[in-house]
Amino acid sequence: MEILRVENCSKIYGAKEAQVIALNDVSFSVKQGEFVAIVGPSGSGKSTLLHILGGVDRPTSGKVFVDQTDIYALNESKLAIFRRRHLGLIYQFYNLIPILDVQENIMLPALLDRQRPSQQHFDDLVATLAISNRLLHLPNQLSGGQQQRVSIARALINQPALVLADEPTGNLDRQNSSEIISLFRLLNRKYKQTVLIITHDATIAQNADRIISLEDGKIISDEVRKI
Amino acid sequence: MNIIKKFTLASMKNNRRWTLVTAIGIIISVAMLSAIATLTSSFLSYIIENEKIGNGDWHVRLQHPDQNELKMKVDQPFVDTASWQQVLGFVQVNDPDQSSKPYLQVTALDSPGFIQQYIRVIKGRFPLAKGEIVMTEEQAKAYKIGDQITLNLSLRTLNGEVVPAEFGYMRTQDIASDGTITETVEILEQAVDYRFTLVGIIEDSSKTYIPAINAYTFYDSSLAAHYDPIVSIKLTPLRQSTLIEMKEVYKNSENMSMTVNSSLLRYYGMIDNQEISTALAGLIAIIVMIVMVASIALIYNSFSISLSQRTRQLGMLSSLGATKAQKRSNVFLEAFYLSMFAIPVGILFGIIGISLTLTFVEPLFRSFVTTSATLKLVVWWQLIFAATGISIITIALSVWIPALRASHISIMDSLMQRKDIKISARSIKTPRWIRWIFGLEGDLALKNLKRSKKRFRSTVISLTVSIVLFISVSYFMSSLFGLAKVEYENTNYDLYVQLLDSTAESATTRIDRLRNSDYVNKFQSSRIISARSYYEELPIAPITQQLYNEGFLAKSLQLPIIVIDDISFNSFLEQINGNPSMFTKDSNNVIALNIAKDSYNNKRYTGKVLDENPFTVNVELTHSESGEITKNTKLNIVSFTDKAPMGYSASMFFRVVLITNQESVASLMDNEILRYDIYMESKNDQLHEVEIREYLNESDGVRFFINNMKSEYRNISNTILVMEVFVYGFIILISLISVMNIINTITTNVQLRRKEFAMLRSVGMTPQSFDKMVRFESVFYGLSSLMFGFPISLLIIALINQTMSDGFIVDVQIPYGSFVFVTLLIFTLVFITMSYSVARIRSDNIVDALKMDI
Repeated sequence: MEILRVENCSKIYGAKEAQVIALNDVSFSVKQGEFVAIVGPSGSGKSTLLHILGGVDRPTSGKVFVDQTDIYALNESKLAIFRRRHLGLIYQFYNLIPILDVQENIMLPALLDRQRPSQQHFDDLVATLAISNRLLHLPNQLSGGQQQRVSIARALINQPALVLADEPTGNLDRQNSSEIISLFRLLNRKYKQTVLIITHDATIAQNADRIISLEDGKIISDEVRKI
Repeated sequence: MNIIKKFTLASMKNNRRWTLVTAIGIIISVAMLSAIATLTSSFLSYIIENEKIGNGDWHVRLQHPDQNELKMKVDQPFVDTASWQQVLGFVQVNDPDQSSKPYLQVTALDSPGFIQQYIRVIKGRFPLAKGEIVMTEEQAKAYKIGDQITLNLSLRTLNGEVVPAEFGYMRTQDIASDGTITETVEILEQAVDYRFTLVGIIEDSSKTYIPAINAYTFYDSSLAAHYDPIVSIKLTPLRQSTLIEMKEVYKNSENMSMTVNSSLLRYYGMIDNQEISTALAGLIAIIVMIVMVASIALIYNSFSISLSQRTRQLGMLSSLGATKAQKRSNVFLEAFYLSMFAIPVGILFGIIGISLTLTFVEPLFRSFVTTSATLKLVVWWQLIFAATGISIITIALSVWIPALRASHISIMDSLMQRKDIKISARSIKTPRWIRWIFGLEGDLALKNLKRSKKRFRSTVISLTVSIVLFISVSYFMSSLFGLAKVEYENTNYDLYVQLLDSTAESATTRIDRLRNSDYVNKFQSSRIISARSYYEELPIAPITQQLYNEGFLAKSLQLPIIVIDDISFNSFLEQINGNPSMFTKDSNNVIALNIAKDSYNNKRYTGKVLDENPFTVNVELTHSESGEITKNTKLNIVSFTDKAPMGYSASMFFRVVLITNQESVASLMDNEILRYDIYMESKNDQLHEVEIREYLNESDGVRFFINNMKSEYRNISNTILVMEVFVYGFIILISLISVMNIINTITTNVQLRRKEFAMLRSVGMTPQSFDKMVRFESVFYGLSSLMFGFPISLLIIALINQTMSDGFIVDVQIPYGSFVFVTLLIFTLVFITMSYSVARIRSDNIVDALKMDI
């Protein structure tokens, strides 16, 4: 089943001579349960692509369908609601809310939705991510790896259609990095979770089902691997 | 330029908006201090000018029979200028029994003297040579400029003793052993003819207590005069020590009398005057303290916020080897650069502000003071320097702690910005019910405030200060002036004239004439017959009975009968639906004004005095002047009203006003004096008053008294308005500082949380719930400041009441109006600031904000 479809997406910054084409007519689609790595040198447009997929940045032209919904046809409020229900975003710098404890940070998308996620799902998630004993701590009391795991849990709490991760290991040491990647793999298998990861770490890319390579805003290769 | 200076300037330029905000804060504070200084100097100058106009611009006067002796005395280093004068003598121009100014006094002055005495020439010029004279218009009315005048000038004596020129008219009474009283009055002696040429007409400036009208001639040492010469000295320098030195020098001078102009010198601080200086200095000190505290809060806030924004750069500097002192100097330098710009601008603004205020206030001010001194802008540079000094101290105090902090920040902390995220779970714990009631947005809002507790606190404090200041000062003003205002607002007439006539016929003529003036809107003339009865014999209302039983009332009840002229009485009857046919000749029928407003034992009582059933009462009539009982008679109280005729507002529990017409009580007025109370509503009270005075002054055989209530009320209102302009101006400025403070705090708070906001949005917070969260933050700011502000204000109101109720009966009235007003104001203010700063952020691109450094 197709969970994501990108149709002729372009993103252009600036105007005239100062124009920078970050994304140049990109089209592709992703099926449910796929683990996709997007790779490319810096400046190739991979972060821009991810932000457009995540509904936080608008494309200059083109459409993005997540779960059959044309997300940029939604108004700002609807898009925000869509984001918290169907998309999970993970950043390099975790971006946790410093005034909320771990539990609240994880539940944030649900709380914003005035819902309580199932306790079983929550317990299962924190157990899988090995942060059950950290639930009442504030983000600044956690290590980088732990913070990233909290942000992964937050991305997954609403069982989104799509999890998007922007260099999730960029700020972590090798040990923590490989742990995080194994977790992604695990979650992908366990919950049939569709995952898109941006990375320039070759070992991470090797773990993916599919590797999309970007250069100068264009897809130069789309390689489906069998592991 | 060294690198620290460069770095400071660059970062100030970089944060241009912030630099501007801080500069505005400093400008407002300095402007207030300079405004206080300018206002003080302007008012003091006004008082001093007033004093000089009234009493002359001199410091010490020496008088000695020998002019040459005086000349030698004056040759001292502490004498700045000396001006000469001599009273030549007096001539009688009016009857001492009729006039308070029986004499014309001729004084010789030298040129500086004319200026020092503030003599103003209306026509012609000042005397410039011996034998020239200037007089008032009244005294010179028989002459024209250029005429020769011969005056027969004499010495004032009483029982052979010389009366000093500045003494009032002397009378003494001797009681002989047999009890007979002989009165002696002063006389004029040793008359000498002087010939003068009239060269000018002056304004009358003679003081009320001196029994003479002034005329001035030119001073010449060869003049023969009845009185000793006087030299008026101005001292230099204007210090207390100068006065002491002078007294030492003149200590043992024989035959010399010395007068120190202490009422002027005390304003120069040359004479200790405990009361004035402590009261004034105390008041100024309190105001300056308030301004300083508010300013420190503001400036400190500005600097510590700009510091936290620069923590990273400072960390970078120190990782490259900048010393603590260098980091500290970064903050001080910033303060210095800002002050260089903001202090002069602030001083200027303060002066301009007061100048504008004074132009506005001056005409009002002039309407209730009678001197010719003008309230104008005066800037004393000493005071401006003092204000500058205080500003510098204020800024230094505000910067001290941020500077210390800057030097202590550790490299890692600042690079990682750890200081800003050092939060403990406990410090941001919020009660469960918050989320229950206000939702996640409310909870987040409260947690945000708890996180930046210091900033939250300083914002709440400045809001609270504004609230308390506004409520308590406006309460103070309203209770102080309310009493005065209410009294005048209750009067139902503009002009009151009391006539004491010699015959009933002439009184009628005069009253008709007054009634027919074009200025009259409404007119009522009345006479009063004093009467009394006893409570025991009267059907009194329960409240009166109660007061009587409690011992607040005497045995007798005063029953003054107001006998109103027919026209007014008829219209009064119409007003109260009375029956005119009852008030026939000698019917002794009257109407009772049966509503009393009174206070006993600090409690107010309002109610009926008498039972409202018509009855007949025995009364004793008393004579208005002698107070003796003239007659016993019966009065029929036929009707009751709570409407008062002109000139009356209500009865009291011990005095019920009875109203009737002339016919009804004609036989009761036989022996009364011919005193008429005339109350008028006027189309133009001032012109009307002049007209009445002119008319009655020309009439013979009548004594009168005029009270212009309307102009009194106008003066009071103007006084209040002037006070209000200053007080509310001050509150507005102080509030402006608070507003700046709030804007500072809130905008930076929002700025620093940009990334966090973007984060919340990226996980799906809708714009609506974002707004909701921000609104909750505003509400919490408002609520917290009201929570502190209201109780403190109530406390101060109670204190004001406590102080004011000594001697006054003041109703304790909580000024709900100001509370509501302040509440609305605070919330509007916080909401606007919040929405403004958030609106800028909402348009932020989520991605850009997430990538931001801070």
